[in-house]
Amino acid sequence: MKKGQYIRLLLSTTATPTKVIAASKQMALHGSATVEESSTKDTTGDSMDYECTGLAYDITGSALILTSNDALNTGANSAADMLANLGDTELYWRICVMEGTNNRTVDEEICSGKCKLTSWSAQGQNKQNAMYNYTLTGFGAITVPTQA
Amino acid sequence: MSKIKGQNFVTSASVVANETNCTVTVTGNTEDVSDKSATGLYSKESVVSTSWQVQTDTYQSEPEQLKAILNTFNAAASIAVGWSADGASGISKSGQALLNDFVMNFNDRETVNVSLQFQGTGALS
Repeated sequence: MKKGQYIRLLLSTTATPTKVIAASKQMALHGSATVEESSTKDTTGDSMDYECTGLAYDITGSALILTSNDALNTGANSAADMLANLGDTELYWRICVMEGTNNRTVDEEICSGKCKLTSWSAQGQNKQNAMYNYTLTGFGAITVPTQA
Repeated sequence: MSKIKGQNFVTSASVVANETNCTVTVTGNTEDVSDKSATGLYSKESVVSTSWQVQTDTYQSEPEQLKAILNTFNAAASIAVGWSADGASGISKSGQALLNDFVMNFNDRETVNVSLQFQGTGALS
C-alpha cells in the first residue's frame, strides 16, 4: 500500500457499500473452517487425513463514538447508524484500501460479503473517549475480486 | 555451537509472507491399550496415528497477499506447505495442509497482522 492509505470496513444495507465505519480504531476478519478426519482403512501409513466440511467467518471491531455533527462523519456510519441495524437486517460489507481526505475514497477492494450485526456494546470511562464494539456474523461466501 | 535462526514457512500459493513466527506441532495420537495383565494403576498408551498443525503470524503490506489468503480459505482444499531449512543447520519438512483458521487484524495506523493456522493432512515428510 502507498503512504496515506488505510484499510477500512464499509457497511450498508445496500449492495456495494460506500460508507466507512467512522473513527474506526480496530477491526478483525476471522475465518474458521470445520475440519473433519477423513482417514479410512484404505489410507496408507499412520498419518491422519483431514478434509474441510464447512466455512464460517465474522468481523469484529471497535470505533469511537462521534457526535452526529462531526465533520469527520461525512460519508461514514456512526454508532447510532450501526445500532439501528441490530437484528436480522441483511447488511453488505466491503473491506477496502482507502485514501484521500479522511480516508473516504476507495482505492482497491480486498473482499466483500453479506452479514448481520449480532452484537453491539458501548463503553465509557472517565476522561476517555466513548467506544463501541461490534460483531458482524458473515453468511455466504467471502467474495474476493479477481486479480487483474 | 552454531545457533539455528528462525526458519521460513512457505506455501505453494504464496500465502505466507513477512512471517514473524511459526510453530509446527506434531502429535502422536494415543489409545489406552491397558488390559487385565497390566500391573498397577497406570494406563498403557500406544501411538496409533500422527497428526500435525502449523501456526504462523505474519505482517502483510500488500492487498494481493490478503487476497491470496482469502482465496486459499475459500477453496477449502489442501495446499502444499513447507518448513524450509535456514542454511545447512535447519530441519526441512513439507506436506499438505488445510487453512482452517485465520485472523486478519486491521489496527488503525498499523501494518496488517495476520495469524494463520493450518491443519496438516497426510504425512509431514
